[in-house]
Amino acid sequence: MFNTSIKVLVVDDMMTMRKLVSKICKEIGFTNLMEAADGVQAWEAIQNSNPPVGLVISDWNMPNCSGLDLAKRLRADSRYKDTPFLMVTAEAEQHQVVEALKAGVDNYVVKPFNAATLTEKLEAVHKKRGG
Amino acid sequence: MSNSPLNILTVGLEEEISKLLSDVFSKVNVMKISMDMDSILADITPTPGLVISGPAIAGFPANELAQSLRMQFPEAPIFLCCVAREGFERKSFIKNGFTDAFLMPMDITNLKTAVSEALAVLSKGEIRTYRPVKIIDVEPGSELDFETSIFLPANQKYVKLSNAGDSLDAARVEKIKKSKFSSIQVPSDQMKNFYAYSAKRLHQMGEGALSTTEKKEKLTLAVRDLISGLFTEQAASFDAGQAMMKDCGEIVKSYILQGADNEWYARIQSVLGERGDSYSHSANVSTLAALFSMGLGIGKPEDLALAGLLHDIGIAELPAEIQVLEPDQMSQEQLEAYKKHPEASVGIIKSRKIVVPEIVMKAILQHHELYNGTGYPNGFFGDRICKEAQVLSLADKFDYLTRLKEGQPLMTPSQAVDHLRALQVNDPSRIHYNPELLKKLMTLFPQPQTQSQAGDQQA
Repeated sequence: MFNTSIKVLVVDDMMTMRKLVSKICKEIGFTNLMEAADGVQAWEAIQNSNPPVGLVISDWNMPNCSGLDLAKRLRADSRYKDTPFLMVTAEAEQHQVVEALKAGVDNYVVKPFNAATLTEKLEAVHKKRGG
Repeated sequence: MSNSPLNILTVGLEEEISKLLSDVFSKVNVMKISMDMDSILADITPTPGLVISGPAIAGFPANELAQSLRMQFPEAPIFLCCVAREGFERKSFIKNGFTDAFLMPMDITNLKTAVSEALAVLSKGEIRTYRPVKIIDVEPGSELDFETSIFLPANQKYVKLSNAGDSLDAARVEKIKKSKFSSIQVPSDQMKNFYAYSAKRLHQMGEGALSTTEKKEKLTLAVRDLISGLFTEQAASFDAGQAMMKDCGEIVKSYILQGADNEWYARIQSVLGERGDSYSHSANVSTLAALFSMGLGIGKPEDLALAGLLHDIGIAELPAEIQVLEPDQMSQEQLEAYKKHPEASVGIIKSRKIVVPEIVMKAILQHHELYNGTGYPNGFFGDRICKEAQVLSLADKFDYLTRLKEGQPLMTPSQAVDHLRALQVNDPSRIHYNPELLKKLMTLFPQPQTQSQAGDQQA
């Protein structure tokens, strides 16, 4: 079972979706949540966060800095190369997933999803990282 | 209803659609939220059991609306309904979270049915709705873990045949089969029991095939996809047209032309007595036209099936208020507009770059021509109307006559043909159908069973 006391960063440019993802995270048991509206904001939040961000759940399509760009930026930085990263995609974007996985994203989840699906994905990430 | 009020949440629903649903809404508690995502995010108590959404909430494309609503209400059926055809991509909406998407006004019957059925399931049967189940899918004497009734359209009443756990004995099933009823009615919330029952039964018979009821449901759904696809996809490329044609071919092959020759009459009968909407009408006419083609030996069944699927698509080009009317309810002006639909159907097929056999186009264009020359668009007379169009127009009329109409008794196939023959036998101005065809069609149907018709009201 993954640790629910870690800090989770939810990134999405749509406020509604951010709130909904956060709500599902709370349902799963996460208590320490943070939100960002795009990759730029997220990058800043990650650098300033104390305790460090333990999981990023990010939308793909965002203005300024996309989810993919954010993942690449994290993986290129020795401080964050091991931060678990879950990409949120829409059905229509699924074919791009390979690109995201290549960039170092741990797993992806397709909108709309529920608490059970998110839990499953997080278990998979946890397992993959040898937890 | 006494202990648990059901809540419907409507989100940005267009006023005219609210009005159309008012009879359904009157049964339950309706929460209305308009055009505001913040209210959707608010914790709504009690949680709505059903969500009906309009297409537009400021800044939210339908797919994102679908995702958000689905994530906020993971358990509830969520229906989208809208009037605008542009951008209506039903399959994509469903993938993104809507349970179903309805295009108005064509889908009004389907929407009402879906809403009523969702409420029936939510109320655990306290609100009753029924679904027709083909009588040939029920094995005499076997235990049925669902309730069965018969619907008497003349007095609009459901009369119970058996309780869940009972069976229908052979004599009773035979009586219903011989009468004009092709279907019995099962409460919507018990349909899953029927599906399990029919799957088990077919498995025991060593057949992997679907029950006739399910085939009919699948056919109507396939036609619905096909028709809404024809109207809504904007890009009309040759490739898209070919793909659409392939879909049509699949529908014709797998649902319409499937079945043994000796099932001819049973299959005709299985089409009858349905409530009408545009999709089941197209599905029915397609099946009937193909069967008539086989029985009468006129044209190719696959051509007539195809013509049946596509014959009325031009109606969607008409103003919404005309689409929901029957021709006899229309004003002179509306009727003139309606009479343009055969040409409009052909126009849509051409504009979508769908390549169909020339004879299919001809049959569609001429399906409202009448044998005595009083039809439209060209007022062709006698055999100037192609044979295929004669068969198609007969199938069209036949579906109309044998459709379930509230306040009227059902017509059997032979009664329908009799009715048409009687109308035109003494009155040349009413010779609408080729008398030779009617005569031949008559010989294909079993003679009326006066005994069982007298008895079917008690069946």
